[in-house]
Amino acid sequence: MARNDEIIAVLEDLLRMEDVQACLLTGRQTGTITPKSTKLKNLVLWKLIMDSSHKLFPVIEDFYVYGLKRLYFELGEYEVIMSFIDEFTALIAVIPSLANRGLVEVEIESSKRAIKEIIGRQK
Amino acid sequence: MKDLKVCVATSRQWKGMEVAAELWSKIKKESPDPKFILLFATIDYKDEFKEILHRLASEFSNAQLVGGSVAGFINQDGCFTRGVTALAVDYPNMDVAVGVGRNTKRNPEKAGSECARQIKEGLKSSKLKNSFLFSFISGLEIPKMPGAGSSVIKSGIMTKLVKGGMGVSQFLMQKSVGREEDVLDQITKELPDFGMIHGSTIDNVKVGKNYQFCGKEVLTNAAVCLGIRTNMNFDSGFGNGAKPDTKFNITEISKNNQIVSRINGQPAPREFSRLLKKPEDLLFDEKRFIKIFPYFPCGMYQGDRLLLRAFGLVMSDSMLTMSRMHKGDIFTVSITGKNMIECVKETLSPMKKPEFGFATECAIRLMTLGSYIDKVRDNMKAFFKEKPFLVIYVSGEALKKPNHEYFYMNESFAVTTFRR
Repeated sequence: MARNDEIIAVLEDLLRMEDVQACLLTGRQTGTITPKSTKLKNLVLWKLIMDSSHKLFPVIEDFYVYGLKRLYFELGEYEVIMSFIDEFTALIAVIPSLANRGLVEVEIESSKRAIKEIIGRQK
Repeated sequence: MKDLKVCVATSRQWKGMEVAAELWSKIKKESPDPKFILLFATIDYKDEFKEILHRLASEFSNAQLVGGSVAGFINQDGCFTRGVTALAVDYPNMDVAVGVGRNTKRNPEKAGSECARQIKEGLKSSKLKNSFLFSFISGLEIPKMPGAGSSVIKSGIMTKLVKGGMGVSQFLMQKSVGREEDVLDQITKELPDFGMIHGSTIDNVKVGKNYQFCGKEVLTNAAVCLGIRTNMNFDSGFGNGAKPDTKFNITEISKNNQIVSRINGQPAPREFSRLLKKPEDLLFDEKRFIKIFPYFPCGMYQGDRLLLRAFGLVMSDSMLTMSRMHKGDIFTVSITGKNMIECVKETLSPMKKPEFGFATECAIRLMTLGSYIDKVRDNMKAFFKEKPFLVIYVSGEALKKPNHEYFYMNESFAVTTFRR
């Protein structure tokens, strides 16, 4: 299986969790990788997240050396979790703002480790 | 203990058939002829439960299989809030029996009694001296009532309707508080010489519906117990990392000891927010309460042990706890994330070197710690080394030593380790 296909499979698994509305991988080296679908009804918002997340990387790189692991921001009824695989790559998940974030985070962490392993194998 | 073969297996496949095949192959390799299998799955697999149970129970027809739905689990493989796990034990010096009690929310005493009777009957010819019980009982299920979708009900009329409706829904639909303690009262009364670890089954903490497993059967509103007699020894302990702060008094509480109406003689919600020094409207915000209630449990003493109780529902004049409280001295408590993790190490450290371990931990701790739950796993791994262990995330946990009364807890970590 090609690297991107393996990553897509991990993202598809994450998306099957009830509270995960959308997810993607974004990074300087990987580009943006998304599953085949999204549960997010607001497609304009989804496109905005896909198109603009990478713009945060110059700031992320500054903070990464100080141990930046995750960024959270609330967007209306949604919460966006950016979880960093390295200073150039982030796994992004969109969940309802009232979801049980703790439970989702455990699976985000598992997905992040799986993706890290896939990327590591390719290097 | 060469003849003891324990396997804790994990599957992250999606299809029931594939899950069962993966678990089967791991168990067959490490614990080929198990006496019992404890099986737990997250609610994502609810449409696959039957298939998984049917296949595993058929393949391991000599083994007793019990378990249920959980919010997540930890083992040597990792931390998961989606997946299926099994603990299988193959050991010749062990007799096992299963007890099932039904309609736990309608008639918990009868369910407990029925469970205990089956365990007694199943183990009556056993000559082995140490008795232990694994208990899994259906936990809290919140009924959907029109106009009461939140964990905070501010309207007085709606409060009356919900309080009245709880009894009705409890009896007719078996939706409401779990009544696990009423079941356990009966079980422990009839099996006093058994040690015990208990977990209340739950879904993904949406508290809609949870399931229990027994053999090939998928049950709801049931108690399933696995009783064992063995020559193995066991150690038990629990912790929560909480420290008591301000003392207060519950001055009015419902007959079932779960609806607190008055604290220090004042309406409970108002007085509780005053004690916590938090504005009432902020603490009991209709939208946010479901996310913040785990941070404000209270504590009560049983002997010298502080047991936590969380308020899961706030009404205009009263508050519903997830398990029984008593009138008298109660404390607000403080818990740091660090202490939540440290208490696992503290609980395990006095215990002797184990062969394997099983723990039940409150799903609220999982909600609160999130991905930092892997620190709990680090502590488990540091203690168990390469030995197998399984932690399941549940809505209530209990622990009992033989010939002692049991402790029922929320927001805690309870563990039993088995050794020669």
